[in-house]
Amino acid sequence: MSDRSTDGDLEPAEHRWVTRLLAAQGDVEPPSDLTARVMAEIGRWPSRQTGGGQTMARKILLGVAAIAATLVLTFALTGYPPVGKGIEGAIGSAKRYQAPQIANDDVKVQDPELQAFFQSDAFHKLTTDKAAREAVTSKEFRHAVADPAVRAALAIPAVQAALASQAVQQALGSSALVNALASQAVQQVLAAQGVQAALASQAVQAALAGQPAVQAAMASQAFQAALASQAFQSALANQAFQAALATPAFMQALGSAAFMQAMSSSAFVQALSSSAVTQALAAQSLAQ
Amino acid sequence: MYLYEEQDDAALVARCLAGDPAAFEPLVARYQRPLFNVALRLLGRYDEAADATQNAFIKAYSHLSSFDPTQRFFSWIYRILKNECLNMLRSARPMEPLPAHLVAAGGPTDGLDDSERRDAVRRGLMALSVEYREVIALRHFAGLSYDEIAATLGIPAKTVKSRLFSARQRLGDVLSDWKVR
Repeated sequence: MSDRSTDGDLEPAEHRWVTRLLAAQGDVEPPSDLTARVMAEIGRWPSRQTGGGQTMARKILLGVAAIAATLVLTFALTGYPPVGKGIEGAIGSAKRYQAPQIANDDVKVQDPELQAFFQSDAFHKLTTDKAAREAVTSKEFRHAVADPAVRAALAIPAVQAALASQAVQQALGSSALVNALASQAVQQVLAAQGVQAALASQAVQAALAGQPAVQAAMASQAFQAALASQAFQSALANQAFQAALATPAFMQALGSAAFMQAMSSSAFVQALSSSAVTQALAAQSLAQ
Repeated sequence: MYLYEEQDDAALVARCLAGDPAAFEPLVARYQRPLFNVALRLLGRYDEAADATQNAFIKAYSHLSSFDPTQRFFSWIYRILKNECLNMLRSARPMEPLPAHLVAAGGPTDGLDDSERRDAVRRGLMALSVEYREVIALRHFAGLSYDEIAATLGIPAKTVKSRLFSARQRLGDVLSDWKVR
């Protein structure tokens, strides 16, 4: 004899009296001030404390950026490709010793975006930040740079330009964005042309930096899934979409739970690439 | 039963990570009851269960960035709670009865017999291994389905059912005096 419960388990009849005894215990009310105590404790913290995972995500991001900076600097000063294998031994050392010092004129960094990057706080931070240096030796970092998509992304001028952007540097301070950027899904789409175009857009950079809701939205699973879709990447490449992204109404929509829920629908993401929908999302009236 | 708002949970976590600590409050309100009741059955003491639940929420908040939004929030915080409870059990005091006003409200005819019965069940639960206690607590006091328990504990649903069967069997052995009452 068995009693089939709602989710299909067979409860033997000889256990029913045990189940009845357990049911008679009933639910016990937690302390009425439990929520208040938890929130009070959290409220005492000066700012949200970050856990190990987030610290590591930030280290990975800084580490990846450090490698990018190193590569960019190497390429800018020595040209590409770098000195080949086999000639970096004693002869190379002797040559370096005898070589004249580099004069200002010898350093030709013509790309203004790279110049900006070298002069940025982010670049300074990368060269002085202990966490960034430690990140280079971490397993997570090695794993990240082993990803061809990440390596390809680092070589892209748009990504370098984005790293040079003050707005993106500001955005890097957001834990939500760091988490989003540290996710494999996001890393993989960094190489997509649409994403590169979006990263290079000042409007998108400004949106990333100034909007906690957008940063939070980026950390959501629905957004990351949408980001991986071809339709959404096409939308990102669309200038109208980028312009719309910078509008308060769009950003308000992007940060809403309803929008995020809609993002899990492939039809909705497909529709986002339509300029009509983009314009509608940007309309002030939609957010009201 | 408590796990139907996963997307909402993930959105709240994202808001917390974006610097909005108030977004954590709905998560506490939503899960404090099942977590507290599970802690109570694991620990057998009201005050310790309350402390364990509070600590679990605070630790969860401080490590929120390690939460994987593809997983269920309840499953994640339950593991934190379980560790809290195990730490408390390592320095456990001898059992004492639950204060009568704290046990679930009974009918008007409830008397000494019910109070004794509740205490016997509580002691019976505490006589089980933590492994058995937790499946009973998750099933009977947090109201989780077998699949939800499986996801929470990271074991197959089939294992949940067999473990629950054994747990009830052992509890029945301990409580055999109450079978005919």
